[in-house]
Amino acid sequence: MTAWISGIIGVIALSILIDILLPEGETSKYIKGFVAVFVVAVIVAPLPAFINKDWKLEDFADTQAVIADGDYVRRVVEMQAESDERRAESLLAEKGYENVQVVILAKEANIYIIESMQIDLTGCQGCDENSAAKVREIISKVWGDIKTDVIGYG
Amino acid sequence: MKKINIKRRLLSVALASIAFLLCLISIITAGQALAQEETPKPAPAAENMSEEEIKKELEDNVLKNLDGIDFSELDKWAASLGENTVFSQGIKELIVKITNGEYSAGFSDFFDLAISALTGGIKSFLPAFIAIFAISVLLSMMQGLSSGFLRNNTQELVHFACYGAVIIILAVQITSVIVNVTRTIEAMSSLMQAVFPILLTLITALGSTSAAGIYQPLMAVLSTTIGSIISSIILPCFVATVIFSIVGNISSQIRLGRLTKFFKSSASYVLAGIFSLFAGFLAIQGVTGGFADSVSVRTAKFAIQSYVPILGGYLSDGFDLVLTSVILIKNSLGLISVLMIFTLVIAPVMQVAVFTLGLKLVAGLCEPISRDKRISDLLYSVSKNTSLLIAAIAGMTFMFLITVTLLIGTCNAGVL
Repeated sequence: MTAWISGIIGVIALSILIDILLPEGETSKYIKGFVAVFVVAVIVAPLPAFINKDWKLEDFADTQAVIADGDYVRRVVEMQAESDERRAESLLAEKGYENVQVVILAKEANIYIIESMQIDLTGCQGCDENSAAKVREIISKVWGDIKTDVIGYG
Repeated sequence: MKKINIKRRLLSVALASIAFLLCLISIITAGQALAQEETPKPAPAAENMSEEEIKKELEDNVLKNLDGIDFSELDKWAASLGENTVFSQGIKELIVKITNGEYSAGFSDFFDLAISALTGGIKSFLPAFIAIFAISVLLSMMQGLSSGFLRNNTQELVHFACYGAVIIILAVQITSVIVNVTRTIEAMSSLMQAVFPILLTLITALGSTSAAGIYQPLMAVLSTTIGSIISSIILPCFVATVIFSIVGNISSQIRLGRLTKFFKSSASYVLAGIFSLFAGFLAIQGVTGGFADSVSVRTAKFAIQSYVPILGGYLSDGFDLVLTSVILIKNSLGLISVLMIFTLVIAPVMQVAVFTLGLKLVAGLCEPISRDKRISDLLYSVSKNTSLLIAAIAGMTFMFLITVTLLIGTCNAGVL
């Protein structure tokens, strides 16, 4: 582009110089005509290269410039799981099952879908042999039909 | 011909008004989205948690989520704006302020910025315009004095000398304008490259996978392709129009007016084409992508609430509390990025506007004074082509605003 514009400026400067220096007469108009053709030739010179160039989007675009941070997405999924674990523990505590440990396993790392819920009753105060079934029932009422593994009193 | 010009002007005024209205709507939408989220509805989970507890948990979640985001690129970019801006305190701190409702973007700040850019532009261009006008007056006087010379070429040489002086002054000013615009376009691209990955991450974390899939290539195109098209096609075309205007007015023997118009039209078509295509794709795909996600999340929530009529609210509200913090961050970051781009573009747009109007004024003043109207024509011709620079900056800003507005609007309905 720069070379092209420089070429046009050069050829026009030359034509102006010729216009000033050339003595008036019959020959001058032919010389001016030739210079005009030369100016046009310089202007249209890059057109064939421009038309024949194989234009591709990759020349302009970097499609990998914007990428989501997978670690952060996984972190949010973990936070959602932790939040549900705390809720499950407090829900069970409300129903009389104190000191229960809940661990949620997410199905996928990027989207929060519960695969299974592990409920550890080993440290539970006030639990008996029937507690596992009751805990499963409480959990299924809130979280639906998810896989529930109960440890202790099972 | 005059009617066509008036029609064109009316059309451009109408388009500018529409663009301004859309910008205003985007800011209002962003503000409303934030206002809605800054005061979350007291959740039915309040059977166990008080409103204060919910608010505290939400604030804790916002802080935890913010810790996981890398704002270093954005902080670095904000530092390039200067030390005394609202962004100097750090993006993370600003997001916390916005989510707590402690910060609101004031119109007066932008008004002050615009006024200082305007006065700065006038001060920087005024000496050059005075010098061009003085040269034009001098040329007129010299042509009057040399009217008795034998050859017209002597007058032509006087014209060349004065014209050369005007070109030198004009070239210095145009170079500074082009450098400023190029830097602005590069800064806009780097802002987009710093903001978009974070926004994309946040909408992915919100479960809007369809929208993320649609926005990712569009964001990549906006942050890299459009910037490089402007740098590699529009700016060279502008340079070409300026050079052809200068060269075409040197001598009455050389006429390059049509070639100048060709370059201006080509650049205008390229700009209009890329912006229309981008806005079209973004508007259609962005809205449908966001809608699809919203429907899927709402369906899941409805299924849970129907399945467990009494306790369903507990689960769905627990789901909301975690993700609401992500939405707050997303929308606050969207608002900050809009403020950032306005802060960035306001000075160069004002500078180009002052330059354009100044050139038109000097061209108007030179026209009745000078016998030879070539200097006046040159100034007017350059001033007509500078609109390309404003169109490039304004178009890119507008595309960014549409994208950010759609991102602010995406995912909110599905979770809240």
